[in-house]
Amino acid sequence: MLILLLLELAVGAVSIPFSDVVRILFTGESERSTWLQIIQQFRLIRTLNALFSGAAIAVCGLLLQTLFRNPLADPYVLGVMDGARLGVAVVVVISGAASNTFFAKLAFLGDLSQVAAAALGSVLAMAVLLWIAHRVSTVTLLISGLMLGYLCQGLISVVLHFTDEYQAAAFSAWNDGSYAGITRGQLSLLIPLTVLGLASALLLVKPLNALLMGERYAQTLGLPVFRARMVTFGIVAALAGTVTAFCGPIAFLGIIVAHLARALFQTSDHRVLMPAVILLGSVLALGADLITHLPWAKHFLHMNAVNGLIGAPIVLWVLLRQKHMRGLAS
Amino acid sequence: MSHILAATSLSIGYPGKTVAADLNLKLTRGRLVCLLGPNGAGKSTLMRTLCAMQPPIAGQVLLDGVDIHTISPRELARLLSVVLTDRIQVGLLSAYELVSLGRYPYTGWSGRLSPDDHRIIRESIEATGATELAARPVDELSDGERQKVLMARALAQQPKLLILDEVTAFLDLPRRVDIMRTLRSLAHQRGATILLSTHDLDLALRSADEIWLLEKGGAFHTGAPEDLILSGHFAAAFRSEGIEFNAEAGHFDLHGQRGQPVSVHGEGLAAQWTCRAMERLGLAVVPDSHLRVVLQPGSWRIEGAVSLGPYPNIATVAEALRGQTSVSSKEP
Repeated sequence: MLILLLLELAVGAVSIPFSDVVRILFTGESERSTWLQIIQQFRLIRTLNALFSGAAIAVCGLLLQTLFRNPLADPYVLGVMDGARLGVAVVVVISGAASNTFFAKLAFLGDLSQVAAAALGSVLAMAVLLWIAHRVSTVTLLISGLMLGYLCQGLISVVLHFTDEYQAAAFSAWNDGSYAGITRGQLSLLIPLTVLGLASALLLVKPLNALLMGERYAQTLGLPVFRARMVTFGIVAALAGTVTAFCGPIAFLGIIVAHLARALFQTSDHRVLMPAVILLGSVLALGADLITHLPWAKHFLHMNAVNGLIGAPIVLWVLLRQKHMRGLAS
Repeated sequence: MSHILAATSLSIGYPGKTVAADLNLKLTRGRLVCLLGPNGAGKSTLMRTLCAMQPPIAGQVLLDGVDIHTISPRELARLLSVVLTDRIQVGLLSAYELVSLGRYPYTGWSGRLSPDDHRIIRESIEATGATELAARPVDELSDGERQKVLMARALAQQPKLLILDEVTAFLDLPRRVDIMRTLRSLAHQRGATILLSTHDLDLALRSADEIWLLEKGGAFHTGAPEDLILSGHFAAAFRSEGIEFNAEAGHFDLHGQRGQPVSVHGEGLAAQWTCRAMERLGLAVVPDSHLRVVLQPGSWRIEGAVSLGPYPNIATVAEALRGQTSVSSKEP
């Protein structure tokens, strides 16, 4: 992880030697002021963002997978992120209508409202999912999530229709999903929020283990099932909302990391999985971001393209294996 | 209090639809009790009401003298544990880890297990005879093995009362006998109180200390299995299902109505199984008839309008009788 971290800081359009990276990190000075600037202004922020956002999205994936008892649940696939984007789109439009200067002055407040809107959007999306999940099977839920995502995207287009060109362009840039386009101020909001969300998720390991057995069994074990569900949903909404607000939709990471952790540690015990997922989420996000910024690339790869390249095969593999198992059972 | 579970004037069902009313029931400690009844009589509703998954319409359920709906979920989980028919998919959990979930109501926020917890888990696994299964992933177990692990999990909760819903369904006969034997020894040797709902009438009659019989329409009878048979309640409860309980033989008749009378003359095990063969053929075994099957050492003879035999085994007797009875049924 440390190596990845250094690599991430060193590699980019301008390559900086490791020794200088380390020096800049620890002493805050360098022979070349441009290097200092690049690292402090851009790469360090991007790196920290990837670390925390990756962990947050990965934990969301694990929480949703246990909650829906569905191995393919993840905030991106289920449309939760699209719900968050819709929330942000609405805020962008409203703020545009209110006047640009007003919100530019209260930049911090603007960030906060962006997070709140995104969280609210993801809550709404999850409420719909929850309502659907009780009635349908694994695959139908996934399709419902996809449809929910499309619905939100449609609504986003409609909402953006009412805004001016400048704001729409800003929105679509954000829409791409990247750890780079974040400001120092936003980062100082993202880190405490994700840390809070991750800490709460760690407190949930015991109820999550009980929920593995299904809701009725969990109830007979003395778990207040409704409350546990609501708390879990709150955490997912906060984490997914925060990350989506600042980084845009990050695809597949939630699915990949949870499965990777299960495969690595050969267990479904959340006491092991939760810390593993946090760590792996950070590492994987860093790795994916690194690939998008590799020096031989003429220009940046789209990050969701990298995630999709790794994630889509994993989703397919899980689906096929499940079919196979069901075939054996019947 | 000698009764772990008690209810007076209990009405069960759903808003707008009462399934059974005015039930009075008591569950004595250390007993294995089977709840029987035809499909649709409300067995599941009664079970759910008794383990507080569903509120009663009227009356209350007392667990250890306390109204079950006033007990906190955590406290209730320490008094009562449940094995359901729900299909569980626990991913990569091993049988041991699944059983350890039974310690849930006793552990702290992180679910960390103390040496004591581990000891109780091991004992529970041992008590259900699942020791060899402990390290295996639950998703790879067979239905019977899975039931044993789930029972061990319920035991790990150290409950005063164990409620099991249809745990023997979908299992083959040896597995069902095995499970019932385990439950019996849990009740009799370890003093657990067990309530089990089942469709397995024959096995229930032979292993339960007490039967709860819920008829369609809500009539409810309790008693020793033999008492319920002698009082005729047992036969009455299942008559609506179109099957007839044969009180003499102690099992359900395969054939709707009794066929032509036949008498079996002989002694010992061979005579007993000859009677069973007659029933299988749809004949009614009576003390004396004009159609007689006579046992001699090592052979069988048929006596009636004509004498036939000797036959070397029951298969040939049955073959001969098939011809005999079809001929005689054509004649007035």
